[in-house]
Amino acid sequence: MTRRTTSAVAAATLASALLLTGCGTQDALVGLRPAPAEKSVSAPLGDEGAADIAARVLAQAEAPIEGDAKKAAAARAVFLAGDALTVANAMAARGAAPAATPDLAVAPKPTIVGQSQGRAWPRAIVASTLDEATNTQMLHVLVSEKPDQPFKIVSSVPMFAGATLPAVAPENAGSPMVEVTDGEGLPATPEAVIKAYAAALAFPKPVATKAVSVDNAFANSLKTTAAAQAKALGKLGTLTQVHTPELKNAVSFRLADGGVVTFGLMKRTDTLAVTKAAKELVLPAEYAKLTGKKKVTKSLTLNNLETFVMLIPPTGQASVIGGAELLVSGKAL
Amino acid sequence: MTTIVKSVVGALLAVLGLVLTVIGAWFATQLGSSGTAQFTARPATTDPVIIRPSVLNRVESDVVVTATPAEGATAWMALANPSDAADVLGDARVVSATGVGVRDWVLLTRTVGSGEPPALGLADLWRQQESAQGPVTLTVTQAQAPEALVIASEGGTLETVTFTVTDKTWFVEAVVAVLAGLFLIVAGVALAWPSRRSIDEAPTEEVTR
Repeated sequence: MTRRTTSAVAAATLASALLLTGCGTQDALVGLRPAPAEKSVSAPLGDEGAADIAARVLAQAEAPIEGDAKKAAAARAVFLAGDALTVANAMAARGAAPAATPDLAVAPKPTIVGQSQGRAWPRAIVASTLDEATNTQMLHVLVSEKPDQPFKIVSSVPMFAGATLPAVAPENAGSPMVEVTDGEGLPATPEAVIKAYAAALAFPKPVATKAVSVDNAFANSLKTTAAAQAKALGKLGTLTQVHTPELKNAVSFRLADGGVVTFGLMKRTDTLAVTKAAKELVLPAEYAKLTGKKKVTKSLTLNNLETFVMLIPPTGQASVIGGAELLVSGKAL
Repeated sequence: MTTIVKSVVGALLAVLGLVLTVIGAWFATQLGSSGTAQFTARPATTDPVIIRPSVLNRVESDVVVTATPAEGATAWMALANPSDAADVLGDARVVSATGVGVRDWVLLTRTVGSGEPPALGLADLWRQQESAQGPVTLTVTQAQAPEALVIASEGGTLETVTFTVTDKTWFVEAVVAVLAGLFLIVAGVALAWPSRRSIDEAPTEEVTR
């Protein structure tokens, strides 16, 4: 090796060594990289994590509750909230066994249908389960209100036979939650459509609407039963049914097609007014037990809770894909 | 003048090579042939410890974190989205890992916040949770980065938190550093040595002519 070559190699080596002492090169040498940025518009949980949470909370809801009414109510509030808690408390007050009712009957393996989008609270999970005993698909909405609060079931609604829920959101993208007063991209706000649906279910004077279809299993059954009861009463009494939306706990999600799915609750009041043609009416055993009276001379009022799932597409008519009713209280005069 | 410069450069190269050789040899012995770097913090507190992505997700290798509570206490460890971990901790007093110190193999920490820590286990935002009476270990893959790791103890203080990363290339690099250092020593000596020989040889050449 000549002196000139030796000098060149040595100088190049020295230059390289000096260059390698730079910070960026040091990081690169040991494989350090900047931490990746957090995606803020995706679903907050992976499907597996969401399924674990849903399975845990649904199992809690399925388990029997011990203790007196006060302790039982407190125990229910640990895993239920919103409309689901309203329904469960009403059932408990009536003395119905929660596990035997369709509202809270659950299958052990939930499938995650969707999640809310982003990192803000409240957060929601939509899960489905199959009740194998009745072959009924149940939709559940679980909500976590704050970072340090666990998810609770706020709605559990059986789907009608043959009904389907369109894709809530692309995989892992999450679905934005929508206020019931937000009609962006919709023919009308969810609140307005639900009010139209409630008015269209009224008996004996339904208010026709083009906003939402009332051709579903629940509405048809309601209409048929009311007509049969009215016919049976004849001139002895008059039957009216009024549906009142209770939307303070309603939960809505944006669907992949731009529409909205809303999980909500309505109260239905059935009023049977005894006419002068009848001195008194003898109540069926179920109503007698509920009201504490075997006969009525003036009127019978029955209060029901109706859970429902409504699809509101970006254009066209909304539809109801699931629902259930629960008779919670009554008053006989 | 040129000869003096060459001598100085040669000496510097030799010193640099020596330093590189020593550092490379030290890293090679510390990391072992597996290239395992283990950093330890001793929080000795009941406050939660948080390791944020700026420490947890800077490498491509898996990171193994082990929390050891005081005797009889329970350690709890969980992974979450960084913003979720920040939200659930709020302004609570936490020990935050800020980096690593290679000289003492220490996980550097500082205490931030002033509020009381919330009940972390109740929150439904954890991607993965581990809990046990005694040491708890959780392996963080980088597949879901960025993530934050939160550690808490119950029934006693958190004695140690070890942060272990294994990267075989680190050992290879340490060996390369040793070899490069040796090369620099040789190159430095070679640069300095001929200058002395040329001084000795120069008059001889003139006499020959």
